[in-house]
Amino acid sequence: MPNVLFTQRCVRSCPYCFARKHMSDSSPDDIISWENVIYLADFLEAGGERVFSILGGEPTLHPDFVDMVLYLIERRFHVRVFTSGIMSESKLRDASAAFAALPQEALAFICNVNDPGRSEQSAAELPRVEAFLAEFGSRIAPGFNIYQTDFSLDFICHHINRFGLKRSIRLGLTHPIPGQQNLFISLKDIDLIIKRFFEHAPLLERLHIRPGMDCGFPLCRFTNEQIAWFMRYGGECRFGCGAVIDIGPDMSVWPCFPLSAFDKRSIFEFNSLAEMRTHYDGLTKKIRVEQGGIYLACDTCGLRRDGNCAGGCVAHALEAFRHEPNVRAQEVYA
Amino acid sequence: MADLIVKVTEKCNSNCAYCDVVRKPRGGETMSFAILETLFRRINEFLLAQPAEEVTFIWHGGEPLLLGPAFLEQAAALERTHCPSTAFRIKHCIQTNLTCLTQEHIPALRALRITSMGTSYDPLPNVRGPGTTPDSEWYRERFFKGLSLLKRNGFAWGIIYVVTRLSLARPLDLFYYLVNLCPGGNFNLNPVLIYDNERKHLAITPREFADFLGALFPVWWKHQGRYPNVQPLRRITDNIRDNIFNLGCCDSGECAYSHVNIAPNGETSQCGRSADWELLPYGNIQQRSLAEILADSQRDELARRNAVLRDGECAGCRFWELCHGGCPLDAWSQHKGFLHKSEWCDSKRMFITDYFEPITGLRFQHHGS
Amino acid sequence: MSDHVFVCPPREPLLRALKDKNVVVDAASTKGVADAFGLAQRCGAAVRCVRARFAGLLAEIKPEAAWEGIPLALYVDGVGRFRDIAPRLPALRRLNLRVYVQASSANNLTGIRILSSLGLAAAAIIDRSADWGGCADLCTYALLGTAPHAPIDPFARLAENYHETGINRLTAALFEDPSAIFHVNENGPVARTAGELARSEFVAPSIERFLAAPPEPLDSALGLLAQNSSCAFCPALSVCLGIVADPANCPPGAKEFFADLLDAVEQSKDLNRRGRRTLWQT
Repeated sequence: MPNVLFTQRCVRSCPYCFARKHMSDSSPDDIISWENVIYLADFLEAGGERVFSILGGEPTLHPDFVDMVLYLIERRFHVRVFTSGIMSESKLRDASAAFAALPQEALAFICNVNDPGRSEQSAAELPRVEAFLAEFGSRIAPGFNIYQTDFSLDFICHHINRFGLKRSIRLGLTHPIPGQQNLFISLKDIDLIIKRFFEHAPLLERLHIRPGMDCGFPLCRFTNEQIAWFMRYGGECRFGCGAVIDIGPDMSVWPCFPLSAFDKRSIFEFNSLAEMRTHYDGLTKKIRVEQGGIYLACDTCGLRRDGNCAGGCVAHALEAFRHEPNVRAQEVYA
Repeated sequence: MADLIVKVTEKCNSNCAYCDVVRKPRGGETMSFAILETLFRRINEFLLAQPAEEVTFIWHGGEPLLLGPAFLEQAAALERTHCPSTAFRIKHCIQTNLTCLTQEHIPALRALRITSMGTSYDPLPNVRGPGTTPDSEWYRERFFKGLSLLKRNGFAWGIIYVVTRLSLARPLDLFYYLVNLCPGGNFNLNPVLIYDNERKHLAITPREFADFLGALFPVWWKHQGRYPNVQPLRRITDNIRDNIFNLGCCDSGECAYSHVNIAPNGETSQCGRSADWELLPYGNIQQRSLAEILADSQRDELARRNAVLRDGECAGCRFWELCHGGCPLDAWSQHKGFLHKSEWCDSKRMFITDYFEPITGLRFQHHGS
Repeated sequence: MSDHVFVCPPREPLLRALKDKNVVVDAASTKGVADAFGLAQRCGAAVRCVRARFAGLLAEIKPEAAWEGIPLALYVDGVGRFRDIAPRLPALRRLNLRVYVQASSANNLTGIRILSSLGLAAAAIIDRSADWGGCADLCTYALLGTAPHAPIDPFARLAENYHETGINRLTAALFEDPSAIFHVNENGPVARTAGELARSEFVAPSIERFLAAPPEPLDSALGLLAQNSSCAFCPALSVCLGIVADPANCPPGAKEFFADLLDAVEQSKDLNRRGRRTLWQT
């Protein structure tokens, strides 16, 4: 489902931020207008989409955030808000009052949390995050972006128990942003990440917390037992990589944040959601023709050929193209 | 169809800057009822002998409405008397400046079965109106009063707009004015025809007229539905896009045996200009029948003109079918002979090649007529 | 029955004089809506709608059950925050309602669009103070937006009654048409427009005299042409008809708005004619 950016301004400076390239190219004052929200609601509805995902920057910074969410719900969308959870007291009060009576399925938050033990900033943000978690507990699915090999999920489990959050964790693997310096997990460390994750398996089993792997994980780095564990404990493990489609407040569109500088267009160039998806899926395919996946072996991998694994995040390929002579099809250069 | 341009009077209450009628050295005559009566008898005689024929009776001048309602009522009575069984084949039209139209004229106009009026207007100052310097304020007030009366009484109307040098600076402004004046765009854009040095400041060249039309054309082309009847744009489009060849008298090459101008004193000629220039005199309606006038041998030269031009000056011209060398009187004004093409042919050609074809992507295909 | 429409206060003698005539009952405030409608019906008038003004935001109104079934033209100062309107939506949807909001601010125009996208008919009151750029955007949405939405006047009505080669008065949908819609004073005299009513410039001293000898239709376009003002040369004359009221000082953006409007209307009609889409209407 496409993500719609309500704002370009964020309240954090996460070292791994995959939106950094996009933010640096955009005006922080750029916020989505009502007219564009209505247009997008019409556009997505016509495309058969019933989920409206809201992103940023920090989307709750938008002065009309609460009203726009209510509007989208009135339009019968299921609204998903990706947020840091960091908002002012007054905004929290407003949101709490406005959202209290909404059906559970109408509104959900995916709150990407940083480990307060890892940085002073994360520690300073904690009280506001906790206030948000306390207010909206059951609507919140926590998310965590892995950018260090020695990460810990303990603090998230603690949040889940303390605030009654959804018993799931969305795990994102940080990827390179072509042309940008950001912290990300290098290919050689993926095995360490998987090993580190499974060190948390007993805890997750005991607390009945289902993990979900976001896009870009390579299937070949998991053992059969590890895949079986996901199945047994209701976790979600997808090995895909495709255009999510992000839509900026100015109605620009791009495949996903790591690829925010890659073939950025205007939504008005497309007559439908299907047309947009076809366009960006076609682009991804062209990249994969040049380089099958994150490993050399991806080119001949049977799992990729059978569609069970996409071959990791395509951002790695694009980043690699930047450091080699200009010999590939022109469309694959950002 | 015989087109009778009946100059019932040469008197006019205006002194429009480009008009030749008011400048005639011997002018201001009005047709007598005796001549009018004779005219109706001649028409009846003609129609009885030609059961398939029709006559268009164009009330012209000067300003025909200056004659007053009584004159028109008398004309209707004369028609009833002298054309009892042929009146239904007489179509009356009128060309008027509307400035002296009154409610009292209306019944008489209806008696003549007139449902539409041709008129002319220019919103630019000092072009139309009485006085040495035309008083356009006077004219405007009365024109709109007349137009309002015309509309209230359910008449249709069409406008001729004469493009002068003063018009060239504001083509689109004038276009919008005219479409606002005539919803549907019932107006004709004609180039001014100036034959003297005194008014040379108003004259335009064929190139300038083509460019004037060209300035309007993109807007008109985009919005044909809003402004369907702007001539000559509509006609040219019909010709080229739809192969509909409804050409006006200037372009059809077929005016030789169809047009008669009848002066107030009954003298006939081909048209208004030929009468003014004392060309093609066909005799007086009091002495000759309409059939004789329409068959006058002087007309043969006009008929012959088609063949002469097609094989001569216009040989190989891609647009022959669209203009046939233009109006013979225009040719005469330049060359002092009919057997030449008109300089205004160039205007049409330039408009089509420089504007119509590039903008529309259509290309006129010669059909070999 | 003639095609004249009378905007009339809810006074029995006036409404009785308008028996069988098309009437817009001007209830002034929302308190008198049901009573005004009932009175007009009892007097035998053919009620086109009841017009009422609310001095506040739509979000502040408490729709009354008695309003159901009454064709209602509701004038408000603005729409208000969505969180405040949302609880009222079910009740508003049960009404035969069109919400009228001044087109002078971006907020108001946004509010109109929100209402329309949620199935509530709305109208933008366009006059000299209009946000012309915003109105141009709104008319494009109203006429060419492909998603189902409720009609937005005056655009929807203009498109519905559009005559390509004739006069298409934009303000007819806003109860202003000097040839067809007449405004009745509290005491009976009749004026052509609300403005003339306010200035006591009447065309008839009473409804009875009006009906006995209706005034000639007013040819506004001809009037502007006769003045030879800049309006006479404007491509928008046949739609604007002097709405901006001061030809010497046409507001920036107005001409562009009217050009966009006419293009959108014609494109919309062309699309509908070719059967490419239909819009549902309340």
